[in-house]
Amino acid sequence: MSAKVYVQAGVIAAVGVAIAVVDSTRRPVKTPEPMASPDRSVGGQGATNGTSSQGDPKPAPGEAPKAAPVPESTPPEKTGGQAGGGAGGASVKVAVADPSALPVKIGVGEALSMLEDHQAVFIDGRKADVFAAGHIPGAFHMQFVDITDGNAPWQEFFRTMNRDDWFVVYCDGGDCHESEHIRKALTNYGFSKVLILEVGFPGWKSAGLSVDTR
Amino acid sequence: MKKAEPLFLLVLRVAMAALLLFSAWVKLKPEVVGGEGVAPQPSGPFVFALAVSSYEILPSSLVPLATFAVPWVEVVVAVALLVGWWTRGAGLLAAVLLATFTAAVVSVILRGMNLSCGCFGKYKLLCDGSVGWCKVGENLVLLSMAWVLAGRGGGMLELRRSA
Repeated sequence: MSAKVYVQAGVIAAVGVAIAVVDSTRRPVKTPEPMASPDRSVGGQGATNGTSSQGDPKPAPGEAPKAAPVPESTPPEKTGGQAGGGAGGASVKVAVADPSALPVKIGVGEALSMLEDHQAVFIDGRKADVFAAGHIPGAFHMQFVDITDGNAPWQEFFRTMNRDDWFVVYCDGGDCHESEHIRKALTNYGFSKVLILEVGFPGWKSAGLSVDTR
Repeated sequence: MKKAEPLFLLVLRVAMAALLLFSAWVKLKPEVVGGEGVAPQPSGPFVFALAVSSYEILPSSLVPLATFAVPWVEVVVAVALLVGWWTRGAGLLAAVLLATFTAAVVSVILRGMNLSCGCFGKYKLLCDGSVGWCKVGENLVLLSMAWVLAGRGGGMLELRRSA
């Protein structure tokens, strides 16, 4: 291959990058504002913010905690007196007095508390088949691709959800990026109170908490 | 066989150009602004930037540039292939791009990450959108097409013959 071909390739690349620089300054990619709380992990069980009594969270002013307004969802199952808690609910629950004090990535304990106290709407970002096989009770099913493609779950979410509500997103945990992508997309559209259940559904299930298949 | 080669190269370069243009469009399309009761849809760059950053290869400071540079280079390469201007150089650059994408995909597989590739948005060519060995194979097929164009030129109806 002659040197001329390499020069041609270099010139074409340079033109493309030059256009890219212009375009990127013309319409910079909006990156979501970081949440007030630090982005640190609290691990699977969670061990923070356990100051208030369970079951009586104090909402922030003007922000009324309410049950997840998901039309198709069912209320959390009650097992042994622990709504949504299942067998291991009592041992892992970590009371959450003020969700805004939590880090972005929360553990099972905080998630359980927020579910039982109706402090957040849970969003399951996994594929439809695994969602149908089992999900956190009352979770709203919406994948990242639903947002990017304007699919029905995103339309319903946008129509029915309140930007002042708290949301907890989860996927398969570990290296799953769906939750982070959904959080960034939601933040981009003004739903800024979005937390991530870091261990995802596998962590929830392995903690022995109740699972809904409806 | 020899006579058919210019036609084969023409078909190859038009196919490659169409693919690159489509791939670029997915990454560059503007945001769909929502209306009354209709949800907006994020722009191509927003979605592609998330895909790029999830690969965890580039430092975050370079993600915005890569987000725009990749699709715009694809556009310029596609236009060069389509009109037959510097076809061999364009083919070489397409091969370099595809080799880079393939290396990134292999790196993700070796690190055991579970990602969607961000290549064609919701659309798929041979494989689904997730990163895996199928995607490596798909990229290698495309890379061999680009390499043929880099080595043999654009065949019929070239606006300007390559070196």
